[in-house]
Amino acid sequence: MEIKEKYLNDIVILILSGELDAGTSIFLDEKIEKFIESGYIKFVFGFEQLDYISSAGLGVFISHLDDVNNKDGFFRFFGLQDKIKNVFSLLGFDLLVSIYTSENQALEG
Amino acid sequence: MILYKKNTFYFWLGFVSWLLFSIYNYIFGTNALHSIAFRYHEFLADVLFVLFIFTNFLYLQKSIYKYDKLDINEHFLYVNVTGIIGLAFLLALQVIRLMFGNSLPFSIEYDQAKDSFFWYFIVHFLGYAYFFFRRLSLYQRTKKRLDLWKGMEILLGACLVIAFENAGFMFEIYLKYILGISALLISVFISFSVDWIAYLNTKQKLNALISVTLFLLIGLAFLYISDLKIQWLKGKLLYDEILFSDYFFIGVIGNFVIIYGIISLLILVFNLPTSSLFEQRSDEIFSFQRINQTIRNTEDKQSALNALMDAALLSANTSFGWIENYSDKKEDRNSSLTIRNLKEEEAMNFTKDYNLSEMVLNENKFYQILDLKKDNSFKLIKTRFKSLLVVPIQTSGLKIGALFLLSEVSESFTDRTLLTLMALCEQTAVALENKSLLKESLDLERYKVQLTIAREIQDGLLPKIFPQSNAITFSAKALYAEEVGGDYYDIITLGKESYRVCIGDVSGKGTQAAFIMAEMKGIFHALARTEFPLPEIMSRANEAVLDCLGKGTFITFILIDILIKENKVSLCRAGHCPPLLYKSLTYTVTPLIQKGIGLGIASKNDFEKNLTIESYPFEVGDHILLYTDGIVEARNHNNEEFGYERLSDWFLKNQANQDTTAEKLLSDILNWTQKQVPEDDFSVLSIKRTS
Repeated sequence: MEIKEKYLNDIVILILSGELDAGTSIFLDEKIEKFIESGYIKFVFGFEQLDYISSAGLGVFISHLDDVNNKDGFFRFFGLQDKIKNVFSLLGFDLLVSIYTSENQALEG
Repeated sequence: MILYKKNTFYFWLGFVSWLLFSIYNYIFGTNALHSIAFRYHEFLADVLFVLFIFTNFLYLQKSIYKYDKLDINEHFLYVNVTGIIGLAFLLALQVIRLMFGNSLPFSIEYDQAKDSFFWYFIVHFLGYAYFFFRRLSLYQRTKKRLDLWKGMEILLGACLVIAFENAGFMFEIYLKYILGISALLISVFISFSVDWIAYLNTKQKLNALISVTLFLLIGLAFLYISDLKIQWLKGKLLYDEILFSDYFFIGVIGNFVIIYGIISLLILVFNLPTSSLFEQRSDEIFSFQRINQTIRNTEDKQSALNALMDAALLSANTSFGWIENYSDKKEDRNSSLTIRNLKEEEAMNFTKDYNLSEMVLNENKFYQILDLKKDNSFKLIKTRFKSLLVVPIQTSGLKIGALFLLSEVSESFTDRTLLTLMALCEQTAVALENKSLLKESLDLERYKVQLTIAREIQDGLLPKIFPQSNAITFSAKALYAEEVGGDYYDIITLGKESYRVCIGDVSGKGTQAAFIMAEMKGIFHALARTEFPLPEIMSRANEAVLDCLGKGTFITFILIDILIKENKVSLCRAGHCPPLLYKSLTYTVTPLIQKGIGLGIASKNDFEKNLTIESYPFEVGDHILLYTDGIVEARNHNNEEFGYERLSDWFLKNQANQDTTAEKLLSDILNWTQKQVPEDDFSVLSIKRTS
């Protein structure tokens, strides 16, 4: 899985491509942690190129969500493929985070 | 002594036979008291002679072959002692004659006694030596040698038979010549079977040398004392004497024994100088064995390296060296434990500024400096040593270290030595690697056993027996991707015709999920029998999960109350796959989708805010299917997912099943995926309303 980073003011934009499974989710976890330590608490994730997400991948977002929310930050997602949207919806995760169709929409909020 | 114990029967048989023979000759022989010539007296004399020889040879043969272990020294000792005793007897008789000079009383008895004793001892001396040398020559039993011996034994048998006839006709003489010469030739051929000499060490060779020399001297002494010498002095041909007398058989035996003795002596002498080298080689072979044994018996690598060091020094004919242990970090490389006969500072001369051990390990080849004084890199070092050798100790999978050897002589290490040292090092490395692989595999076995136990325990956490009722039939089955997994379901009876059912899926799989699954069971059982309404139970479960589990872990969960009397079910869904409801009235299958976040994700407020409880009519003929996401996500070889649609279709077709529903779904899924083992955990629980 590849992660591309972009910044807009105090928002970190991470574009994921490939698969987020047990192995690759560790990288993502470390990255998010480093960002949070550096003071970034506003995240936008681009899922257009993401084909698959496992429970470990979901776990990464779940484990940091509370922290980010408490610091008045957010996790936002855009460009989810149908399957992944379904996963988020079944789990009820979409009730805790915001899902958008495009990057701009996600940035605007 | 090993030989004097048994065979007393045969010994006395031989002895009595000798007595008979002696007494008969005393009475009826040529020097006899009375020359009683009765008709067959010569024939009887021959019979007794042959009997005497035969019985004593039988006894001697049994003595030699009694024991499996061939103790060369003991056998030589016995034969030489026999010879010396015989000589002593004969010498005593000689002394008696000398004492009496010409006027010897009982001269007939004297001659007879001398003759008799001579025969007894010469037969025992030569006979024992014959069987002893026969056994030596068959140290390595080959067909060729056994055939030669068969030939020899036939010849000897013929010689013995000929002893019956002393008539002197021409045929007999030619026959004796042929037999004699054939026996001589066979003796020579047999005498080159002296490979027993090769297996002796230097000390043993010296002992054998002394024994054989003594043996030959004793034999010479017997020859001197016997009548043959007297005849020889008279100028007659010795060989003729043997041919024409009773001495023929014993002469042939004596021939073999002397030839074998002389050739053994020569070969012993010629082998002595090189015997130390031979010993060294066989010590090397034992070194290999000792290294293997050390590695087998001790837990620590250091003992093996010590054994290797000892063997290497022996092989290389030097006393100086060490083994540098391999480590990725140069600082951790250690030589002090195996260093021999030199100080660490001396060794440092060769390791401080050079990376020889790494070099030989990387190139997997030894490194040698024939003359340190002439080598550009080393000539400036102040050292007493003149040559250096470094050999890698490694296998393709494991680097152990490097062996360093120093010698005070230049060009000290021969090609042969290099080959042996490389073999020793490789042997040690392989044995150490095998030992660690064995340990790994034993550890693996232990883990497997643990896992099997875990599986059994987890199996016990899932219900096998379901509540029995006319109104309702349950069926449930789980299949884990690994030995243990994270799926959970349970059924408890709340009251008459009222049940609480749950199904849950811990994120992840394997051991971690299994532990959490067990915790979930605890949480469910603690909460399910309380009076709290469903949403409250779910919220408390969410809190328990938030408390117990690590941050990224969550559990999807469904809790469903089945109320038969009210013909309905109440359902809360926390992030889990929606259950399928079959209504017999409309012959349709519907997924029951409700809002609800998985357990362990949201805080209490967010969770409660987003949880819903719904009720659905549940009538006779209706069927509910609970399952985990492994089922819908199962993929076949075309990488297609089974999916919700296919599942719904399947349920529609198969909803009539009652207690076999779960089993059938699992087996149909496995058939569809064409895989033996699921990639994710599968679980199914179905509830059929029967009346």
